[in-house]
Amino acid sequence: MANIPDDVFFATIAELNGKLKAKEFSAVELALAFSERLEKSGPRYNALALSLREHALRQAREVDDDIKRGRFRGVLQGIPYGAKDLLSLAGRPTTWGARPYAGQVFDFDATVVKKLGKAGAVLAGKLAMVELAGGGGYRYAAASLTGPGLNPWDTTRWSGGSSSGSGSAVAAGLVPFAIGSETWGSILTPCAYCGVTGLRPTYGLVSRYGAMALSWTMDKIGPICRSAEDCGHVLRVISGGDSNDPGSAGKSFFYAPQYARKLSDLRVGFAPVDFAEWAEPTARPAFQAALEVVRGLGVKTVEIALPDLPYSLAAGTIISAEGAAVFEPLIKSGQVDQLADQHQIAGLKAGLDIAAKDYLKAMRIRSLIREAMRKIFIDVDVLVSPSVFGPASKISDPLNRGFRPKPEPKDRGLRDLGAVGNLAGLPALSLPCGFTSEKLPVSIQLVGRSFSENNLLALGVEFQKRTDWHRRRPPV
Amino acid sequence: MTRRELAAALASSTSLVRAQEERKLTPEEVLAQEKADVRSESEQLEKFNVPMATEPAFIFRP
Repeated sequence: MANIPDDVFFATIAELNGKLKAKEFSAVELALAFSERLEKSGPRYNALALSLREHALRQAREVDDDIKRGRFRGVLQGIPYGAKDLLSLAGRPTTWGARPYAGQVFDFDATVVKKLGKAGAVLAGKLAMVELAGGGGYRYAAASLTGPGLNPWDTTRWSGGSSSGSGSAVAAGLVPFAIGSETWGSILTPCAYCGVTGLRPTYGLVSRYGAMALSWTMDKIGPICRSAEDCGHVLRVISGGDSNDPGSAGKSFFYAPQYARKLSDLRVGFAPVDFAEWAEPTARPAFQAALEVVRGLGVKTVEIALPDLPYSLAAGTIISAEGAAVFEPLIKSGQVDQLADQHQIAGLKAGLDIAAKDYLKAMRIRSLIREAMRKIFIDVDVLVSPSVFGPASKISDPLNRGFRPKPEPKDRGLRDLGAVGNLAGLPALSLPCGFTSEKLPVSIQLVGRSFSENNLLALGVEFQKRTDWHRRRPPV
Repeated sequence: MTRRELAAALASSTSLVRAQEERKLTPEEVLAQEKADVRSESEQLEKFNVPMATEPAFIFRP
């Protein structure tokens, strides 16, 4: 058995792939090392829903056999990963992070799990999540079957949600990458809070077949990794059309950094007020320094603001109405009362009261928002803003009591970019960009046109060549 | 009213609000609150005018 050095747990996918090819260790040895680490440290952060050690070792043995025969399946071959527990794996529990579904078992694999398996990636475990991916709206970090997601940088802080375990497991070096999902903030928030890199793909680019539905028109699945480059490698494998997903765009993604547009051709929109006023004071120096790094990449920067539209109102109404419809059987059966968060229970029940006219109005506002974004992306190629305006909240704090500057800035800037990006189905890349004075990580997001992931990744890769925030490790 | 009296009054009203917020609400009260939110959001949506030709952002595939 090879002795796996500590650095390996924080290596990128390309680095691990190189070490496997150089036979520094076998895929089985790597899978075993990560499985042991995940089982030992996962519970420390409430990050582990289910260890899949035997499953991982079986997959890793196949990889080792392939490597012996000179059969290479790509850069993910032999790389362990974790999947948010809303993705099905045949014959094993898929709890959706919620007590009423604790014993749920499907007899098929989610499309992304299947695709990753074909590429030789090794599924080491299911990762914890906020119950029902936060459907109904939760008030406390403890809204999860596995307890509150704890942040590896400071375990009195939240790891973010709803892909809590995916964010903290990557940050703590328990898996090299993870799969998360986002309806509204569930990839970007844990990435920002845990200091890891994550990509929310364009709506429809990654199949959701075999994933829990929360909002059919807004759910997306994406990678949480150590670097922008890793996100490109994972997205290449998990993207693609799928007739089993009615929302599938029927498109694939080819990670081609060599063909990305020249950075000097890119126009990057930003709002100074985001960095100077909306951001929490302790995070402002990091955000402002990150903006300077982006400027230093040679892109053209353009000041921009979003038009005055009710973004959060539309997003909230659509997710609540669709979520209540998805979970109507759970609500009507009374089993919804088994959820951990009282506000979430009530939110799901109240969602059934949303009138058809209100849902349709929100969807019509969504059309206006899509059109507004189409116009903005005539003038710019990418938007940059803080992923979240401050660091991770304290576990004990209600989540609706976050920082808001007083008095509120008059200019709304790109404050609503999270709601906008999800309503319009736009891709976003979250990049760690520094720390607050309390040594908590913060991140910026890059948002682009639909299917412009290669632009975002090219910008992200260059940003990460000039910074080392994504290389920082928590005190594990 | 002196500045000190004003500060004391503001502090006590803030802590009163905080105390009310932190009082554990019953499940029925939380549900009533959430239903009130749905009504208030409905009113906000009603006030927002959308041109008649604007169709909902569904994506249909024939």
